[in-house]
Amino acid sequence: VATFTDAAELHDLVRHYLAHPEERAWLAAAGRARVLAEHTYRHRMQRLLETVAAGDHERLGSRPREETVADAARREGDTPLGDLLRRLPTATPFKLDGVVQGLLHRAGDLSDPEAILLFLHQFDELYVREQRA
Amino acid sequence: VRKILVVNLTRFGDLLQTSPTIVGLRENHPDAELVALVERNFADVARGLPAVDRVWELDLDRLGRMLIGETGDGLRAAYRLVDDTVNALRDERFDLALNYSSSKMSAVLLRLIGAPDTRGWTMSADGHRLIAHPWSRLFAASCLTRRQAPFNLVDYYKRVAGVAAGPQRLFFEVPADARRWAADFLAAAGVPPGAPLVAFQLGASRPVRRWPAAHFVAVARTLHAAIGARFLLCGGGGDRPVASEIATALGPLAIDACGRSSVAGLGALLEHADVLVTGDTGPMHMAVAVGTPVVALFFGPALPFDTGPYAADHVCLHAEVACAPCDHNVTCLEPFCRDTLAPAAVAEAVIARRAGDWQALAAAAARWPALAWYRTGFDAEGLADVVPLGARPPGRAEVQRRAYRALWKTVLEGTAPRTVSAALPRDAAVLREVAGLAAEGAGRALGVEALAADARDLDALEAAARRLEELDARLFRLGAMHEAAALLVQVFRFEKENLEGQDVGALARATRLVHEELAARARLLAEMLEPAGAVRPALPQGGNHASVR
Repeated sequence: VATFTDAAELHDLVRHYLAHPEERAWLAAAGRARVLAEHTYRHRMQRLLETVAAGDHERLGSRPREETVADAARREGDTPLGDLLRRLPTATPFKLDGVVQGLLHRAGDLSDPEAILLFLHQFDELYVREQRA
Repeated sequence: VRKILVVNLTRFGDLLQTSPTIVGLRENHPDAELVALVERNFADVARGLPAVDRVWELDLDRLGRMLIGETGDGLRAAYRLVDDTVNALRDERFDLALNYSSSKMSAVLLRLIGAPDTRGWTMSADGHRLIAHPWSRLFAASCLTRRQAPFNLVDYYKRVAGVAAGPQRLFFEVPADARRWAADFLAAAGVPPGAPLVAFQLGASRPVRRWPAAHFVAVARTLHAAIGARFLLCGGGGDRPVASEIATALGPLAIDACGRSSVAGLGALLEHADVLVTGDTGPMHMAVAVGTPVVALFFGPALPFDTGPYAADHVCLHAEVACAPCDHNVTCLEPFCRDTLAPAAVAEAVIARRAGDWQALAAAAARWPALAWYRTGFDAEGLADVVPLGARPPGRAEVQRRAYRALWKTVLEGTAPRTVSAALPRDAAVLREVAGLAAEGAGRALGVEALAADARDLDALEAAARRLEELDARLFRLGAMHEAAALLVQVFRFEKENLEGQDVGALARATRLVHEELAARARLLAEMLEPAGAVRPALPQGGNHASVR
């Protein structure tokens, strides 16, 4: 992990890594691996639940809960929609708002399943939301 | 071009307004297959448009039912329905797709269909809105700055499709069974063929667009006394209460057809009417399509300039109040504009139009100066226009609108620039300011372009880009502050938004061109509005350069 203590040092680091693409790629990959292994929301949430609900797991587990993208992905199976849902944080509710928010903050080109969900979200805003309320 | 898709997911009036474009496409591409993609509820209207080979129905009601539960199987089923629809539409392999719905939803759909030549609202690969075609951008911009709305919606549609020379009227083919139904309906109501019959369209999409029932009653009383007419009350099921209020007041003079006919049946009924009195509604366009003269009342958010009847010799009365047109999102607490349209004036208009007496209409216009009276027609370049009736001197908005018409015809069609009837020196000064800023912006973009070519000095590049952004913010502000600059600046915004690509140098170059064009357009508009009125042929290039699709 590259660290810095002031803005000038940050500047130097940015210039260094811009000038050394291989070193940059290696550092990025190593950083990503470490984050995924130790620092995801899953890790934090696990720790939180262990602390808060120690001894009360049974009661927490018996609460009805809304369908998450992980549930939906299991039902969907091996389809493009299932693949997309599996890439989202597992606890995201399986609703257009949450799913589309997750998509909009990504850079890069939209895949077909992403565009279809965006279409449904727009349709929902135009026609369905009012009826539902 | 082998196969063309025309998308219109709006309501039936809008669908009728695409009819001249579809007929024009048929004339230009006699061997192409023409497919209309519409909402299922309006599929019958699409089938009544001549030259449509096939109708693709989008069942939005069904999609809505699937999504009402928000999650679970419903959401998955909705996904599959859209996925299947998109795949089927892709398999059609359209060469050209024209999107005439201005919604993000339709933009995403057009992206998914992916026709090689897509015009109107669509989406970039990375999910940003694109408005593909200069006339489409001008239309989208004029929807946001409606006081200067220069052209009729139908003319934008035609030019986006490349059928500017297409027919100057709307079309709807009334099916034989609807004709029989209408004849029986009127016979049962005791209306002999040829008897004076005036139709009233009571409903409108929103209450603020509805003319009061008492006004319809007053018009009817005057007309009955003058020409012995009876009255056909038209509207949807939701207009029944208003219809019965009017029917009670008028007794046997009224024939209540509210909620009783299909859209095709409405067309057939309107064929029997001498004149239709209506707000800016779908039935107004239906009357135009079946050749029945309309006296159209424009108030609230409605303007005759952009959504008025698309055919010659209809009458538009506009309540030209200071706040018109109101924003679609505003709820007016004091809708006095409806009363500005006095029933006595409307009755005079109906009597004179029924008689085809344009002198009487001009005289009536002079007697009712609080209203703007217009006759619809077409200008020398074949674009729909509303010509003032009577001898009212043009107001500021009218002069601006004339100047804007001349500007866009010059910029987009190459028509020679022309002078307008009156000078607006203050507006011209604002436009000079816009031109100056835009020219400065072109200079700053050139700076970005030069720095991008030599990518070593990233700091300088970033600073230059920021300086350009600051200048654009000043331009946007001018557009927001000054009505005369609003449409020009809004089109500029859309043109900037439409620039695509990753190459900073190429983007900077395209940005410079967009600024140069804004400067040239603002100068031309200023020249038209300056007192000397001397217009020099100064515009170096059109609005369709390669950088802006």
